[in-house]
Amino acid sequence: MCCIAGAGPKGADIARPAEFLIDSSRIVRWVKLTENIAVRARPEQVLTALNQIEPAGR
Amino acid sequence: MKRQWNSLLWVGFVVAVAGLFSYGFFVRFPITRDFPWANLLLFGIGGALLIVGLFRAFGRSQLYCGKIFGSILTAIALFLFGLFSYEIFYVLRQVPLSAHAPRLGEKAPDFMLLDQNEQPVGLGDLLSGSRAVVMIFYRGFW
Repeated sequence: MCCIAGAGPKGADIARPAEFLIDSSRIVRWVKLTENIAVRARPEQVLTALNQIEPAGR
Repeated sequence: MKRQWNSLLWVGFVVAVAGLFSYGFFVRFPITRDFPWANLLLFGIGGALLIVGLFRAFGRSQLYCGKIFGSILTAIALFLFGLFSYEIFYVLRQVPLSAHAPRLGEKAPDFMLLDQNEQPVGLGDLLSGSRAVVMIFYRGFW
């Protein structure tokens, strides 16, 4: 599903870079599937997404 | 008349080489990692200096040397730029589409994994008493 085939040691599949924010009811509230291995979610992006679900969690 | 040293060729070549090898430095900062504009700028400056140097070498050859080594340095710089572009704009973007990855609003599947102490940890354990969980799949091997 989220693997890069054969890119790991001894040809093993490895995880593809991805970030998910899951709330307390296990609903996916934010997803970042990068299209570039060098580009990842920044901490402030994660915090912004977290702050957006804060009212619902209270 | 003795011809002058065509310094623009060497300066341009050094700047172009810096455009390649400085990626290890610029990659530390998100603003220059997400899009390598700093490296492309160095390649651009280096290329411009090389072009001006080549114009001097071929257009004013009675004043400046550098026809042969200028051509060689320019070819090497072009190769380095091609190598850089191939890595940055092609290799790093070879990421699967992950069409089956959980989408916004979907319920995340439960899972159980071992933590650093070899103890099983599930999504439910992480969510109990927490507002949310951030799951980060970092690339497993470089």
